[in-house]
Amino acid sequence: MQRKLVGNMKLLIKEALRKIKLTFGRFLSVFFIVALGVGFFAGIRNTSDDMLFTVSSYFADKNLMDFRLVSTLGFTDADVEILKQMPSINDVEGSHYIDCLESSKAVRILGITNKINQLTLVDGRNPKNNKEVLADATVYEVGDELTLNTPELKETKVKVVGTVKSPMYIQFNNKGTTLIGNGKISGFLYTLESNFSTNVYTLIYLTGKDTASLRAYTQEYQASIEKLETKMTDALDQLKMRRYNEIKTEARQKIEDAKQKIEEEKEKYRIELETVKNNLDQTNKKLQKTDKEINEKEYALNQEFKQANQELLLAKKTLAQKTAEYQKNVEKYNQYKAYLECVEYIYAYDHFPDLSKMTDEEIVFYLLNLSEEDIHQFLEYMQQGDFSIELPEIDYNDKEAVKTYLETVFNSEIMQEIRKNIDFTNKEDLLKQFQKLVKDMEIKLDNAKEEIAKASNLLQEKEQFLNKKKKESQSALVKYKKEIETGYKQLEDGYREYEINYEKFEIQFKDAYTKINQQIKQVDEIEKPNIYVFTRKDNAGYEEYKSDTTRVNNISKVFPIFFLLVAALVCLNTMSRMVEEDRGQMGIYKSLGLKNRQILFTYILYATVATIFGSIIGLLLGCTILPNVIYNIYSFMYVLPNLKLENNFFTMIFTTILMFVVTLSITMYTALSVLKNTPASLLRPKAPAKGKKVLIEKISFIWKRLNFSFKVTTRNIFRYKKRIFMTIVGIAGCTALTLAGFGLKDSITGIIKKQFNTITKYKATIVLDHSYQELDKDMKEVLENNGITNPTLIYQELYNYKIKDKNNDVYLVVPSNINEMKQYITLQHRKDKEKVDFSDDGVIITEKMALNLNAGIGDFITIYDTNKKEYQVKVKEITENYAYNYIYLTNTYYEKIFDQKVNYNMVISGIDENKNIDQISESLLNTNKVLNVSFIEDILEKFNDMINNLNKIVLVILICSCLLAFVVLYNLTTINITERIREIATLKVLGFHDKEVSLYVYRETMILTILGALVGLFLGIFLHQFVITSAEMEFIMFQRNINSISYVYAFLVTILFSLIISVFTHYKLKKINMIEALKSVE
Amino acid sequence: MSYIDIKKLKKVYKMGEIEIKAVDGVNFSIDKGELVVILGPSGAGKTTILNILGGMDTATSGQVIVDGKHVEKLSRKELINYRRYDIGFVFQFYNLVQNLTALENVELASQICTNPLNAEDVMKEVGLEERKNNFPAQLSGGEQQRVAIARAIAKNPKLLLCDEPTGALDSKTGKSILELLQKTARTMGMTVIIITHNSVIADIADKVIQVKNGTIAEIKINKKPTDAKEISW
Ligand SMILES: Nc1ncnc2c1ncn2[C@@H]1O[C@H](COP(=O)(O)OP(=O)(O)OP(=O)(O)O)[C@@H](O)[C@H]1O
Ligand SMILES: [Mg+2]
Repeated sequence: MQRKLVGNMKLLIKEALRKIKLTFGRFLSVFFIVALGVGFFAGIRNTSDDMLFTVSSYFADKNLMDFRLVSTLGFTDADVEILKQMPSINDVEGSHYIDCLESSKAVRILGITNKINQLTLVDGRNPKNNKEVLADATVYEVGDELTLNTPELKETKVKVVGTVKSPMYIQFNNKGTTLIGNGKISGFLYTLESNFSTNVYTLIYLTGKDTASLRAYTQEYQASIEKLETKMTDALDQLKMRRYNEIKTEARQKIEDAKQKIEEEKEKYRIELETVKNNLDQTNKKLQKTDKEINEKEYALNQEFKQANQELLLAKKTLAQKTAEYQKNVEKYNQYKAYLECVEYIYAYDHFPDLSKMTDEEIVFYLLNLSEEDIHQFLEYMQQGDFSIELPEIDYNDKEAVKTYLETVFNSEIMQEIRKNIDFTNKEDLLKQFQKLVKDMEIKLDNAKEEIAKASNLLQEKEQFLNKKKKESQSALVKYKKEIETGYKQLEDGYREYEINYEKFEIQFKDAYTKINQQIKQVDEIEKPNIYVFTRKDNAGYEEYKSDTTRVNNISKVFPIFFLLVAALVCLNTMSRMVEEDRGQMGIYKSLGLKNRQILFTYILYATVATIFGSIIGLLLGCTILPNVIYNIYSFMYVLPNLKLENNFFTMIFTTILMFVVTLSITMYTALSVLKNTPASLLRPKAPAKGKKVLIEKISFIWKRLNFSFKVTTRNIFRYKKRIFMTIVGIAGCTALTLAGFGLKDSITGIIKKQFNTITKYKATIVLDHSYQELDKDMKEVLENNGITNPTLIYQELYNYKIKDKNNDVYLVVPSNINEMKQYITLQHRKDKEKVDFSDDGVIITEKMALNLNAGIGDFITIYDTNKKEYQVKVKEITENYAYNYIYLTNTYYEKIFDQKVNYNMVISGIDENKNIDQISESLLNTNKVLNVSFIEDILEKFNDMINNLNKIVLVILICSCLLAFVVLYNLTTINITERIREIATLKVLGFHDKEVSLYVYRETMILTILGALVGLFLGIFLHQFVITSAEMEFIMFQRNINSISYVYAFLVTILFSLIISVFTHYKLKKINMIEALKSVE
Repeated sequence: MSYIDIKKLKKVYKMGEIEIKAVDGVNFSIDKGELVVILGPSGAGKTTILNILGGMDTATSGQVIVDGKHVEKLSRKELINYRRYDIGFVFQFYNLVQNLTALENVELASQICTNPLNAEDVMKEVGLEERKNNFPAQLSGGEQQRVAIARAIAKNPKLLLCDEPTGALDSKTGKSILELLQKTARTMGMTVIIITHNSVIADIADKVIQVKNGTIAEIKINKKPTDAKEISW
């Protein structure tokens, strides 16, 4: 029994193998369709998993952080230690980062970490000292020399010795934002930790223990992260407290130190000033003393001189008295002399009485009694005589007058004196006496004169000496006084300086004190630090990658199911057909006594072999080629390692089993439904599918007019309902896929043309070195001299808007001149091309942004500046745009919203077509008046790269759909032929030409193909819509419609395949041996 | 020179090492308008001869001359044309196109010929005027064979080749088929060759060719062939 079974088994296997050999074409078609369906399904399905796997194992390899802590007060090693103590934490590493400008671009400089976020060296080597850095491989090259504009590094002139990629920043063109430069980080530099001036860490990276084994992006990972975050709360509070206290004590200590230092300095300074003051005071005292002494001396001298003068004056007076006396004596002498002469005269005359005996009165009387003549004579004599006596002009006749006169003379003092000294009685001697008297007098006078002269001389001498002495002492005094004066002046200066210094000192210390007070206040005001916990989600590109894989996943939800469906259909068709064909054979087996399951076994084996081998080949090819192709396409946006296939056996096995189950159940179902019959009925040929009239025949006037072959075709088409369905679905699927592929290409390619030919027409954007209110003549000249044409000034700044909490870029644009800008940027509605106008109470936003925000005209939207400040703007218009998002607004509205004047910072322009853009850029930058120049040409190139990549995906889809179309058509035709081989042989026998036979068979396929293709075109529109919306990126709006030529292409591609198949069929038909075909009993 | 001349006809099938001489040097000739029956046991080579004569198969060697045409020298395309214009085939299992009505099956053949007979007339001729719009599945075996004969006749061929036309039919129906064939040969002057291993049928023929093991055993000329109506088996 056992042996028999084994023998049967062997027989059955042999039988199955024979069947495969016999129906190899059919076997191949099952094999290929399974391979294609399974390969494509599993391949595309696996792609997103593989992509996630690649990245998550990259993250695991490089020990990507789970958390990034940033504190408002920074961290120290103590903080790191505290975190290290936590049992649920694996690695903790403190590090630094700073953002700074490197040749006007914003770069982020990070410390090179050891354990967490390990870098992958792309080129070069690791740095050995602070002068060497690692750099972002997407931006820099080994050997680049950079100057970093930051005070926070010890070494700012650095050289790139290696280029790297980091698991932290996986996106090519999104490296995060910063507050400096244009707000976008252009690249990363990694320097040794020792290059940072401060020991206080800017951030701490953490990895969890539990998370280490978990894959990034999974829910488990997310849950684990969240758990860890709650666990960390206490530790973070501890960190906050510790750091807070540390900072405070540190600050206080610092202040205390500063205070002490200031006090010390103050004291020192005060002492210094005091000595200066003391010295000054002493000098002052000395000066005052000297001053006093000199004054005293002067006084004494003056006193001395005064006395001397008085003495001199007295001497002078005496001298003057003496001189006066002498003068008087001289006068007296002269009188005496006159009287002597008179006397001599009288004596000479001799007739005159002796006068000496007479009294005066007697003399006067005598004289009066003299005759007139006598008197006259006397007087005349007297007058004529050389007397010094003045004789009055008197009337000598008037006795009385003469008498008066004479009396006066006689009574005069001198007469009296004379009378005293002369003894008038002695008449003889009278003259002598007179003479003697005069002589004595003369001698006396001479003596007096001599004496006076002597005294006068002495006096003069004395006076001269005094004067000399006075002069000498006076000049000495003047000199002293001058000295004192300068002394005082110097002293005054000294005091003044002292005062100034003192004042300065006061201010300086007052400042120092206020500063310290401020610091104290600041320290008092220090708040407990905030520690921000960032997760991987906050890393630039982390989430984007996820959404990109989701996008692939989305695509993989539609396309492959289509494939699988079509593949299942083909299998169904093929297997059921085979079973049908084999009914006679089955009858024989059955009549020979084989059990149903034994007979079934052959078919199961057949299907199994086809499915398993097809699956294996499909999986081998699909799961390697598709993920690689798609990953490569995405890899241009990311900086990642090569694809790592995860070999998600689940999907693979699932797909295989699914396919297997489908094929097998189809096979079993059809086989069993045949085997249900008795052997006898099986052996009887099955009644061929009955001919039936089709609906159209009932309208006989049309039917009659129809061409015979058309009638046949029409009837044939409706002969096998299953085949109509199969063909139409299969072909429609392929056409839909093809159309979606072409449409995707259109949608992607079209936007470039539309964006850069019709919407943005400027050729260059130039960021100016500072903001302008208008483009002045100089600047204009600078631009125009460097290959820029028709520049117009605009304001452009990066803002953000949120889609489900995710930040997205949008550029705010304010034209300085609306008309000038309109030359360069077309604002219009997409559908009706109606131009859009600016208004002062709202903004114009781009269509994709409106879609993203689900915003319509009149709605308010929220945008954020780089400081996360929120602004509400009103949407006034929505404009056609495909690449990037923009908000256009007037300066009036800008001022209203932002409450400040517009600072125009950018120029958009055309360029001189004769100049090379590199030249233009270089010469412009050399003017030092612009910060950055970018050209549409470059952007176009970038876009073209992207589009080329996307086109590759499209090509993959196209190729796969074509393959599918091919297999489906092949399969259908093959079945069609085998099914109708007798009919075909009959036609051949009847003498139909090969072409006629082919046409007879193929006409219907062609019609079904066209029908299917038309249905496919219709389906394709929806498929395209779905693919577009799931493949679209936030900042790109794909063209929504499919170009009409693509419908033609998709249609033609299907027809082309149909034709290729028809050629193939033609030869197959030609080869049909009519004798053999007809020999067998149907 | 007869209407049909077959000289030293050989057909060898090579099955690997083994050579099967299906036809091994056959010579015979048939005149125009003759009704010929080829008789022989199973495996004798009757079908092979007929197929070669009908341009469905090619000879290994020898000559097949039909109305002065060297069939063995015809190219593939010429063979198709030969089949198309000169030959009408009737098979044991009718081989009607199931999707076409009886009339349409006839038209299928007649529409490709240069001077076909009117399909409706032929249908009348074979006595199926009433059933012409029925599909083969709706007809009995005999009726189907009539349609098959009608289809062959409608082409107005030079030769009507029938490979065991009654093989699948009861004797009564078979007889009516033979009547039809005999009538065709007689009234239309068509050369008809019928294969059978029923020697009774041989009586209706003008010429009976006995085939044995690929060779002609005997060629018998029936001076007075019996009417098909009169035979029975
Ligand atoms: N295609 C072929 N390959 C190999 N041998 C063949 C082939 N066709 C026919 N034969 C062989 O040629 C011989 C003649 O066959 P043929 O069909 O002519 O016989 P037949 O006389 O028509 O017999 P039957 O009355 O049974 O139909 C047979 O022995 C057959 O086995
Ligand atoms: Mg035969």
